[in-house]
Amino acid sequence: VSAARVAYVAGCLLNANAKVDEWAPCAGVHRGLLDLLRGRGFALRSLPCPELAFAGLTRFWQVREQYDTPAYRRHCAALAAPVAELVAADLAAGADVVLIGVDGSPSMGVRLTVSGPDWGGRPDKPGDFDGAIVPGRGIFVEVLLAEVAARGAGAVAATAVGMDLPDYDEARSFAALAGDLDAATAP
Amino acid sequence: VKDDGRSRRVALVSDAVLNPPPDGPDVIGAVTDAGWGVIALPPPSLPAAATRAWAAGAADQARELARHGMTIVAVLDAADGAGRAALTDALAADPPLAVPSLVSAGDDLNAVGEFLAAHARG
Repeated sequence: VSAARVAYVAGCLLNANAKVDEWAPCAGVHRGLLDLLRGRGFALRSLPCPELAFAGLTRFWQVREQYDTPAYRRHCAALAAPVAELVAADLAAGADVVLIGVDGSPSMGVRLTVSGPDWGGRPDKPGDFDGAIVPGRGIFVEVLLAEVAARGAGAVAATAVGMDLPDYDEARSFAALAGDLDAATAP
Repeated sequence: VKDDGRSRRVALVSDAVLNPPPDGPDVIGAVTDAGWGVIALPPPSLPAAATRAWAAGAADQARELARHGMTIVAVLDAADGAGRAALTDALAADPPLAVPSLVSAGDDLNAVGEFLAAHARG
């Protein structure tokens, strides 16, 4: 039933309409990512966008601290539970499972997230944004990996597209992603 | 939301649409090239309770997008009855969201293309 290679892909990479205002990089599905994953034999699963249903489509640029509330973590856990069940089943079937997040995101960051303990949100003055890219996972990724671990499943490789980073370079980011995918599926 | 390249069109799709067989028509490629975003249901192998939870999350995302005037449709695999039922129930939950749906073989490229083209035109 399960494929040998399975990629769990951040929702906004398959649906740019979910992105925070002004940050959609394409119309809908990211064609480059689709081609990269299918070219390597991955089956695709779409992760939910946890921010979309919680803070809404017109949410502004928020940092990790703003989302790090008990209510948002419960929301993430509810969304993550069925995903974790499927991840566990894929791992049990022997698949290589890779999670693909979005570095720089407060929710979907894998290696890098965005932090700003004092940032309260000033949507009329976006140039005043007071946050920094820091090492760490986004809230949803953290919750999802904990849900997978709680099921006693094996390790999930995790990588990301750096789409929410200020110095994002698509060619460079996808080259790094390809390397991560190859490493995650190496015999 | 300002213009930033997003299409404002989203399809809720079965796993068979997102993952067509390698030797079959490239349905997801066509959906992508037509500019639709997708929110996919899980494969039919997922137990029913988890499928319902997954579909509930998908429906809530669709509600929020629809609330802002985006076009939402569903392209569903006729062979995935459990997934379709879960999505139907999730969309019927309060507040209900009516979504034009195509139920076809997951690899029916012509049917999917015509359906999406009709709804892309509004």
